Amino acid sequence: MTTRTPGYCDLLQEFGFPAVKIKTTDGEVIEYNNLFSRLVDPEAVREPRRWFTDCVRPEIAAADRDRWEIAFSKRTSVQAQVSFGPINGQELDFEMRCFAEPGNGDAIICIFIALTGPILERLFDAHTAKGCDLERKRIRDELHKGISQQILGAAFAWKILAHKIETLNGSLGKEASDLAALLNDAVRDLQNLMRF
Amino acid sequence: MRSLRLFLVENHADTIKYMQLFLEQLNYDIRVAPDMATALRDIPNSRCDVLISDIGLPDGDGWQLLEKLGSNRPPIAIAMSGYGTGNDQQKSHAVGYSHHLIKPFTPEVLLAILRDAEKLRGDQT
Repeated sequence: MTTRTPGYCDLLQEFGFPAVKIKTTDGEVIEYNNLFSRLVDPEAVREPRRWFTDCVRPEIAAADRDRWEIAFSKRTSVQAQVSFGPINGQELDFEMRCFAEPGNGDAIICIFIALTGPILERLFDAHTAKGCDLERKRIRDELHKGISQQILGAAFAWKILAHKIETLNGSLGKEASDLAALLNDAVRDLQNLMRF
Repeated sequence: MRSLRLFLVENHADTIKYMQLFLEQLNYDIRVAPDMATALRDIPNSRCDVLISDIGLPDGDGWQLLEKLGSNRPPIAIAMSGYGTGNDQQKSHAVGYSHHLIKPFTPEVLLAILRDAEKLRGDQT
């Protein structure tokens, strides 16, 4: 197993890449982040964060599918299998296979590009799902602790006021009771909303 | 017949204020506490008939409150909560609350329960 290259591996994990291990069919186990590290000369990059953001990400996004499909058409014996561990408590295990011709200088790039898209996709999905859960929880808490308390107080306050209005001016009684009914409808609508 | 004595435990300032005013307007005798410690101190001497307590309190919860009251608990207890999952409702009933109201609720819902409580007390006396 190849050793982990400090610096880039840490940087990639900071960007959200987990420590993914890739097992090739000839038994070699390498870390995906280390595979990535093989592609660059650390000395050439003075600002790795900017380099990754400005140069690598657009490259990954614009990866030419034909380019690696052609390379894979010559597939012989290199097969990469990837499995993720859980991220944010969510199980992301999956297997993915890609092929490249050993000895071909582009093979490692082909594997890298082929693996990067799905990995980014999975990571994005995981973070999005977590984000949705957090947002759902935030809205639920806001509803429970904020709006529901305020509307409860308002419903009781209006009943007090409606009673006083009716006592002072009987002709306004209907308006007061209509408004109370409206408020009660709002209470029921909010109750229904909070069930979700 | 004297009016029902109520004890309201709720920490939301507006809710406690308007519920108290509303219930006083209807001639209920009502005392209030903003937290569990105050409620535990005041309820035993209040001789109240009905406890109306929020489940989420700043220094505990409505379930603990009823358990800690032990033999000092009022004959009828009503829980109020923003959370109305089946578990919450079951827990309320398990510790002795006869009703679990999910916030927000209409004043009429609370009044209906209080009228039943009055009737129940009338039948017992």
